[in-house]
Amino acid sequence: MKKSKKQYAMKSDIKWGIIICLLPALLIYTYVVVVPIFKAFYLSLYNWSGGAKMSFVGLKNYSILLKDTAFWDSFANNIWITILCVIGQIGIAFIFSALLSARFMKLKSIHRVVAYFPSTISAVVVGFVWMFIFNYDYGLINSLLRAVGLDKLASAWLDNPATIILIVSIPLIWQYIGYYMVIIMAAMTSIDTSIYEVAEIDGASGIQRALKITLPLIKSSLLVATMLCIAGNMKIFDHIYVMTNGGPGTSSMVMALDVYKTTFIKNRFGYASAMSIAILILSLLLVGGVRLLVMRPWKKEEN
Amino acid sequence: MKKPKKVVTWKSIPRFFANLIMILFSVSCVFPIIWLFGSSLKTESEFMQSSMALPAAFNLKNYISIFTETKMLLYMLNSFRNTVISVAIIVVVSFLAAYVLSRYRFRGRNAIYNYFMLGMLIPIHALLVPMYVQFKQAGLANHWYTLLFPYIAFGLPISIMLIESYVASIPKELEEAAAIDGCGFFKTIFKVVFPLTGPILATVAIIQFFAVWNEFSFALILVSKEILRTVPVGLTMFKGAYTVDYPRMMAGILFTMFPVMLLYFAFSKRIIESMVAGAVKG
Amino acid sequence: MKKQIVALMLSVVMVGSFAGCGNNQSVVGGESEEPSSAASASETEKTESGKTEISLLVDVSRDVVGESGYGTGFYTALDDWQKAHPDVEINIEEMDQTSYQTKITALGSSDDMPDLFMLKGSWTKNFVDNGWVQDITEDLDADTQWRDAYIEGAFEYATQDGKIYGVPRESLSTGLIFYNADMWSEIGYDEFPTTWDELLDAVQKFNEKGITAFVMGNKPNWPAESCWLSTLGDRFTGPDWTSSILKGDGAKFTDDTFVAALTAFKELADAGAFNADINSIDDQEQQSVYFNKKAAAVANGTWFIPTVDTTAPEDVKNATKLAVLPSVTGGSENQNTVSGGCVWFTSISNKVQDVAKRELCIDLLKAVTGKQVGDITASYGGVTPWANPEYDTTKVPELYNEYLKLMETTVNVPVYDACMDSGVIETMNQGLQSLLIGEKTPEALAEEIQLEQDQVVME
Repeated sequence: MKKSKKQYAMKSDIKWGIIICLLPALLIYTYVVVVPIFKAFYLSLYNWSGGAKMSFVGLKNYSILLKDTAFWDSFANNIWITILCVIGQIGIAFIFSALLSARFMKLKSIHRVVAYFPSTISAVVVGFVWMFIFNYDYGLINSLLRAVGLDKLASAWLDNPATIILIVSIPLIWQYIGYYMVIIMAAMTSIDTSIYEVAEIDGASGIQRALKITLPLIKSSLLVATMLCIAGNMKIFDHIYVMTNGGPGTSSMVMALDVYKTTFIKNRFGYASAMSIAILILSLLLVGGVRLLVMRPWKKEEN
Repeated sequence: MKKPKKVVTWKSIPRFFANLIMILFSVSCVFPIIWLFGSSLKTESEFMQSSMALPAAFNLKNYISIFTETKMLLYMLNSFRNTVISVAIIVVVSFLAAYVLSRYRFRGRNAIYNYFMLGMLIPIHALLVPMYVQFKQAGLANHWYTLLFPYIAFGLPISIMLIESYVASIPKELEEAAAIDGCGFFKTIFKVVFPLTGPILATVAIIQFFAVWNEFSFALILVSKEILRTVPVGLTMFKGAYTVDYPRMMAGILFTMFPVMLLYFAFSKRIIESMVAGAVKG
Repeated sequence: MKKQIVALMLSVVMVGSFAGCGNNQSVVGGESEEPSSAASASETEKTESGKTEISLLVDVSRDVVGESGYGTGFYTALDDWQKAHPDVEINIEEMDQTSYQTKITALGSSDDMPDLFMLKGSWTKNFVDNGWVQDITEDLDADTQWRDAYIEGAFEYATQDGKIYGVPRESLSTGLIFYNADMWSEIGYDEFPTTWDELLDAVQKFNEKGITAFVMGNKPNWPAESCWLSTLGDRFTGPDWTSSILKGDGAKFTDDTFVAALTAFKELADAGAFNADINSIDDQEQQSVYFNKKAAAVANGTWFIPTVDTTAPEDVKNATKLAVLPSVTGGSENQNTVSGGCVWFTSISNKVQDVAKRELCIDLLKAVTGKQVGDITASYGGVTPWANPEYDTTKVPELYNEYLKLMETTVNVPVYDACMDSGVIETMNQGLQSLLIGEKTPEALAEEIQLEQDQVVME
């Protein structure tokens, strides 16, 4: 990280090299991703239903948004889903990865290949399949429960507002376990195996080794995984859209779905744009906040 | 004799359960495909009566009708073209950017890096309308290359992040040696660094391949001509205004997943190996 | 280095945002004309082979040809017209209804409407205000044979300030009760209940037998409103209330009559009339519950008639009969009503101004809304807006004939989602999901809907 003088006094061919390397990525990214954000901000200052008539309202859309309880309920749902997914996806992925590095496990290579497979399926198909798994009448879960005589436990999984967030998080967690396993296994392979050998001789159990050696050594990878998880879940859309459409009522509504409905069903483009900008800001704050929270203690530790 | 036996049972119970859980999870991962396949063999009324029962007969009628009556092959060709070109460009463009972001500490470097990372936080549904207006005005909508723009642009952030951290874990010595030998900037990058980053580039390519292949919203909004339609949008045609023929739709889903699955399972071992070798090393 | 990078980024952003905002189109290549002139230029634009291009966006897939009456009729007429006009290239884009709504909104907001498209009644106001749809009153007046061939009131929801913006394509009843007569006679009802008390009594009898009285697949959240509340609401409020809501001149959703309708609906749900998974299955899955005799009845639209005929098991098909909701006490005058009417229309974009092209578009519009389409739709058991379709009455599903008989004595009342503001409808639909599972009171829901309605009136 230290900037030596030598690096500033770059040769001009390196300077141009850097510019040429960055230029294509910057150009296309700016044009396709960033300019529409500016456009969305511009639109968020208007009342606009899509036609020629646009009326400037300043920051009024934002002041309405601050008081829009439906939007903040969606935000809370996003947060809950994110928490469940960070624990579920990364936690389970860590346990599975640790298991797959143990000697007693069978069929390791098959598990690795199959676990990643759900990540390759489109979210719409995943939501669609799980919708049938949760189905009350003939869904897989209730069929199994009824088959073993636990009829009382069979329930309309997607119909209970009190637990709906937990239920819709399950497919999300399931789909991406493999994805995070890859990240965690990658970090684990870079750990020097001699550390484990020493620990084993000292009589440390498998669980102790996983918690006391592996976990601290891969914490920076876990942080990256957490950031990816937060970023992904703040904009979650397809799974929810397919499984519950935000219902019952608005109990599983998430921010991106709210924006979608405001845009394409209610045709309030200005307000929807304000919501989009708000999502971006909220996500930034969350990612930044978590980073600070986690990084601080680490820096202290290192000092 | 007794003692070691006891130890074996005491340890083997949790081991057995660990194996069992892992196997159950793996089975759950392929279950959707098996279920989709089973359902796709059913007739509409068979499916309506029970969506979980086994099909009565091995009936490929749905597949045949998709093959002969729809333009699914054309849509697959379009999807394939979009996917291959986008992935190739993403790999090269993000490699170049990530390399300099990782190796050189110039002023504004962090700003540019964070600028790219911002892209991971954007819900795309929020930008569909502004983006369509912009593409339309620039004359970029409705061409064979239209979809490449969003696919490449939205693929860049995660790709740059992954490659950047991987490059940081490669020792610099080889590049320095190359520089001493008189290799120029670009020659060093392509001759020395590029081959070394193979695993991460494979990872990026795989992640992006599936992301682009499955993408729906941009494909729906940004192109309107039938000859440009992609697979996910083509699948929506299986839904009528008031009716859905589920088995036929499932046959369609599987039909279009088939080439990708083939690719995945044929190369699965190598894919996962290079992904594990390539994923974030922190 | 820093300066260069910053300058670079700035220039990129500037160039991009100018192009994005449309202040300076020439900067990023492509069209350099003003949007309006670009639009008219594209109208007279011919393809390489010198053909005139007409673009169509529809929510009906060619896939349903041979299954759905209207779909078959539409594509037959379209293909015939294409054959008769080899000099025209038709660019048709077909998709499901949800995707269609997304796409048409995006196209409209970027001034890029397709030449011909499908208009839902509830969109009329917004589409007219935004200048997306063309007034075709004169064309209809010029061809009275075309105009007068439809049933009375068919143009209502495509009419704004006396001007007509679309031609009806289907006539629907949305709130019909399809019931399994065998199952109802088992609990002692040889006829479908005619009063609300009888209905509640029947529900209780079904519950004792462990059978769901009515299955509802309300996940897409329109069935509760479209297939139930539109009819039930009218039974309490009467038609004057609805038209007052539409005009915005006095009636409120918080009025006692509307709250009473919500309360009755909630009481029916509380009595256990519906399935436990009411909000997680969709309108397709509700069919399978009914077909498997796990539910004794389902409220659905006329589009369900051909489905029963082709997909239901034989015994269910034979036992299925039609009814309207039973009458309520203390309600409005006419209790023999069912929600329905012409909900979807075929329209022409306001961008079609080139005289020659406009003529072609009107001609095509006539073809796809013509008598041929009506006849084919009816022959499949689809309900058409055509006053007198010709078809073989012995070949249509039995239920279709029963429906026509039922409608001789029944009055159509508005379908809420065909005429009310879509923001109001979305609030209503989401709220009904909560109401039916006891998560919301009728009063609270009425207030929420009214709040949304106030915003509409304000605009």
